[in-house]
Amino acid sequence: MSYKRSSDSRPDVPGIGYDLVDLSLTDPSRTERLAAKFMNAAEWPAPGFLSFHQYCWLCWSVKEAVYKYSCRTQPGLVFSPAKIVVTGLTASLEATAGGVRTRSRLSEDFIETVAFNSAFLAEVTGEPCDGRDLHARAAALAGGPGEFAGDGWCVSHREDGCPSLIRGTETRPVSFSHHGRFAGFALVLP
Amino acid sequence: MIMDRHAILEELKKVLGPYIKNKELLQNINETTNLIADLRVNSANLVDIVIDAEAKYNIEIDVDSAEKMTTIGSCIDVIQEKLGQPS
Repeated sequence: MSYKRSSDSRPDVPGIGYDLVDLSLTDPSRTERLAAKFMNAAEWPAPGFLSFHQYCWLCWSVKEAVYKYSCRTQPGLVFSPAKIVVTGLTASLEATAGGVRTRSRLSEDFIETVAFNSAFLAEVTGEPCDGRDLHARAAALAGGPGEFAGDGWCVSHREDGCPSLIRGTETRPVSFSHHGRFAGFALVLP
Repeated sequence: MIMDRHAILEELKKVLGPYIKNKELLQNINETTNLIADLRVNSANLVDIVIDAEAKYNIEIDVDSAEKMTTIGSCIDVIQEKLGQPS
């Protein structure tokens, strides 16, 4: 289990999108064909600090996170990965896609990405869990890292599935992802 | 050989099989079934399904068509179109 926190803050409406890829479920022998289906010509070539396989799945994760971020303000948006162009990827795995900033983390086992415009907290776990566990964990952390002031927070899904943490009149955007052995979420901090 | 929608659906079940954990979900699919919401296909596997469908039907599915493949019905529409068959 791990945490990371962003100190970035912008005065926009807070948004969040989170995606997770279990790399054990990706097949390097198919990467080239997959990439041809969802990557944009402007995203080539892969940067020298990533393998072709890592780069392709990192781009996928960025595109998914940005799509989830965008769905919050554009309900019903269709996922068009080839049209979300990943640009400005740095060695620290920060990028911009579709006008949204993203930050990714790459390990031997997984890639995770948060698309954000506010301070956020993200958590990924490889422990067995289901949606309810994740929801409870997100609610517990909704008051801020270490505060565990989660009393009364619950996860509410919009009709289109877009989730938020709700307590009384307070709403805090949250985004969940699950793939293979891993599950995680990112939420907007107060 | 012209494949009708039912025949395409039966073949499509074989394509989808490896990406669906709960195989019982496959038994009751119809044209309105959504791949993600109803069959719980992980979005990371959607491109795999497109590639497998290309191989299964010996067709090429372009990016714009692939984006339409969100339900069983829309998958069949795209496959029929690429096979050059009337829908």
